[in-house]
Amino acid sequence: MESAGSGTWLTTRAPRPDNLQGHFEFFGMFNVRPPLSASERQRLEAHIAEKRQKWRRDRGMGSPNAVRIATQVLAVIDALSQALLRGTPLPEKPVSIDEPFANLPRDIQALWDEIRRLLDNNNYDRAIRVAEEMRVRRPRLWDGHAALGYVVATGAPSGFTAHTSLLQRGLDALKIAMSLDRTRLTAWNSAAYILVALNRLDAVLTLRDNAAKEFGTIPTDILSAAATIQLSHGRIDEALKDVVRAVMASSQDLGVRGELAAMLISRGARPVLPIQSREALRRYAAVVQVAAWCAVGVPEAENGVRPHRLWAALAARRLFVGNPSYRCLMAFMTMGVWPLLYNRVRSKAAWQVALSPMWNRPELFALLEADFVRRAHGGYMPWELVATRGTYV
Amino acid sequence: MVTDPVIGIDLGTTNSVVAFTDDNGLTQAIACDENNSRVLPSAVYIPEEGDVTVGISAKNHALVEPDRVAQFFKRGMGEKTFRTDGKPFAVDGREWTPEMLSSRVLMKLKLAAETYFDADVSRAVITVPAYFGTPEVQATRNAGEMAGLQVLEVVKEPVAAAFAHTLDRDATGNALVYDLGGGTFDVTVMQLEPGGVCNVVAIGGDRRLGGVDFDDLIMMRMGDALEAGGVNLANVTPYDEQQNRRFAEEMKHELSSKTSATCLLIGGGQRVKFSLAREEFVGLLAPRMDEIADHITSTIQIARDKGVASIDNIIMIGGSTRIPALQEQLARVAGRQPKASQNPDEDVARGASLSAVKKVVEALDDVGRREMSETLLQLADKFKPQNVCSHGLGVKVVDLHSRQLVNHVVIASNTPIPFSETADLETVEDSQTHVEVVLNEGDSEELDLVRELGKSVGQFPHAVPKGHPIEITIQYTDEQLIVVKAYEKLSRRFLCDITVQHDTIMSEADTAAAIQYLSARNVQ
Repeated sequence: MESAGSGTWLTTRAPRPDNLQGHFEFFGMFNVRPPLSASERQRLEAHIAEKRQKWRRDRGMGSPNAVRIATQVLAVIDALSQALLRGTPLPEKPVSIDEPFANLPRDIQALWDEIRRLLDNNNYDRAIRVAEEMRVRRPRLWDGHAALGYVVATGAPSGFTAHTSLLQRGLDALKIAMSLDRTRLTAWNSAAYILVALNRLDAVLTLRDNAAKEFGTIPTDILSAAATIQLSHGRIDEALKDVVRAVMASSQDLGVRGELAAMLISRGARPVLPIQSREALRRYAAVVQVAAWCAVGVPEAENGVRPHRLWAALAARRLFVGNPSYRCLMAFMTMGVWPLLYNRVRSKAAWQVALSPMWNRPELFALLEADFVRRAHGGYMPWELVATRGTYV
Repeated sequence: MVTDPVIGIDLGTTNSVVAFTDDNGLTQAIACDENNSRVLPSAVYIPEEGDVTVGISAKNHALVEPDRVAQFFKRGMGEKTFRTDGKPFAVDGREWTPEMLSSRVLMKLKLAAETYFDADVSRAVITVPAYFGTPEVQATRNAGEMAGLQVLEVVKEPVAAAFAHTLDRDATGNALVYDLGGGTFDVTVMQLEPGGVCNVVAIGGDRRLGGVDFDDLIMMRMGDALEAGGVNLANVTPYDEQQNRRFAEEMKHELSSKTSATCLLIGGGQRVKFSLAREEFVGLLAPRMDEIADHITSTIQIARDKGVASIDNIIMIGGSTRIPALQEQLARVAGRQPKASQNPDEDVARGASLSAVKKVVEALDDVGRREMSETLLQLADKFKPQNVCSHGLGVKVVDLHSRQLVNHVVIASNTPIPFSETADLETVEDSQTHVEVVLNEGDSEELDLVRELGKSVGQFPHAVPKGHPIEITIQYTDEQLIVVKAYEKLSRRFLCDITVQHDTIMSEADTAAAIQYLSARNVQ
């Protein structure tokens, strides 16, 4: 039985509710659930065609405002119909419209302000829709396309927009924006961040080199993006060089330094923990050293880097893990000669101790429980992490 | 020398044509551009000072000074501002509206006709796409006025095309007119009856679908080719882009007769070879062809609902109809082989010139008719167009169920005009002292999908209770004028009428100022 709203499905602009059931109802298919029977599928295809035809007619012949709205509805129809006909749930939330854009400011600066306000409130859905609207309004101007890329790039690190297809859409929009005006730094920066989110190392490095040719010097954000992705790919030394260049390019801007320090810790230092080899220790120490340099003069960043600095210094130090009583006894018996040998044999680097602690040595455990070590490890020691997950290995 | 000739003009998105009907009833287009071309590119080049250039020279100038050349401005008709790349088109700080730019094209055509006739030409019939609403039609009239033309009538393009087609073939039956031009797509179902009666039954189309969009698709593929050839797209200049657009247009033409086309793209100081096979081009067109098929299907369906059982003729006009894949698609969707015109670029202007003759004859007194050629008199009497309104007309009302403001459609689109309809409404509040009447253009109930054409307030002599009956009559005249009047139903007391306003186009004062300014920017 069809619901009361079944007669209005042709004019509905967005699925309500925005779930699989709502997606079917958007096309006038009530009380159905996948897998669809052959006749249901046939009916769905017919309804999609009918709905598309209605809105194409509105786009073709309607008022300018109707054209804008119909364009958005057609985008929703395309996204949903493809997913439903494939028989799979939507890969991601589609860009839907549930309110007209008639009240949006006309002025481009005001539109940008609106987008920034929405981003500040983490309202990424709406920001994407406003950005899509800008593309419709300003199809031949760089900022019409750059806005979408900017929104996607801003939301990617926090995961709001980290869907591959959305990232790709943002990147495509930026390509158009950059082809329309290649001097706009916003578009370059956004492209760099999206490429990082897409984990495309070569593309980021190419973008960095192209930016160098275009601007004479590499913009800070692009260097930062290049450093980020290189850290992820284990190219530590190259990444650190880019970080240093970024700080210099920003004229030692404290905000940039703070962000870079935080990035180095999160992308370069934390992934190395727990340190499991000498090489990892070397990398960790190098990253922390540069992070500490970046953090100078930025109190918050200094606080963030401090435990790592302390841990990097301590991790290399060798700690005695033998039996103290035995060492004392033997020292007495050998007149002080034995400890020289015994200390060397029965000592380990602190990172090794942290990796596999000796439960029968509470004094060492207490040492490793020092607050800065815990903070460096994000609150968990490696063995605790395993236990916390309830997995025994 | 002909005295006081009258012309028909097809003011197109990419190309425009002027034609006339001679005393023997033969229609012909007039050479209006360089090399005696009868097709004038709708491109306007605006130099720093002095006369503007229109036509192929202007189009060529886009390679040198793209910022000073306007093209495709017909797509902006009905809007106050013509936007290119999202920003208002302005040259040397002066904004040029779609009407102003169109007026320069019309003036060029007028001058060509004057040269041909060796006489002043002051009267014309201009054609517009079938789905143009009242603001767009008024903007076209304004453009004619700015060009120094008295616009006798604004005729729908498919009607004009059907005139020309009927003249050539004396066709009758149900015809589907498929007009795919450079920038717009029109599909119209008409009934051509013996004796020259042309009834428009259903109208459909897309104001942003045409040859230029196909060029854009090729341009996108060109971008890929440039990138693959090692060109950084960021280094492609606007001049490169103009040149490549020219190549795209040439390739599109070439692919109508050949199976593949090749050119040497320019970008960032490099040259990259680019080839496109016809199959590949058809693949690029697929999404747009899908849209075209939808428009044809929905328009035929509307015609079916009005009793048109079958399509007997298909008339293809517009330059883009030369693309073989589109011809095949049309035959498939409409179920009948289309008849390609000999001159698909000129049919609309030729039909407009017939319409112009008809308008002139209609205005003649007995003396005038005696002086008129017998053939022309017969021709004028032969054609009897029956038009329909392309958009519905409605008024803003409160829906009693939802308590929402909605558009109440009084005259639906595709209604034959002239037509008059009355809506019986009532007041929604107790002690209501006045009623606001808002006229909308569009068939949707939703207010944001329709366009407000005008409003007025009617005062009651005293407060009236809820449910007080009101009558609003909307009349669509033969001249495509809209008359709206509101009355108290019981007393037949007049409440208000509405003057259709076109806030989205140039006002009378703006038009007058533009004419003043344009007097110093004549046409070469």
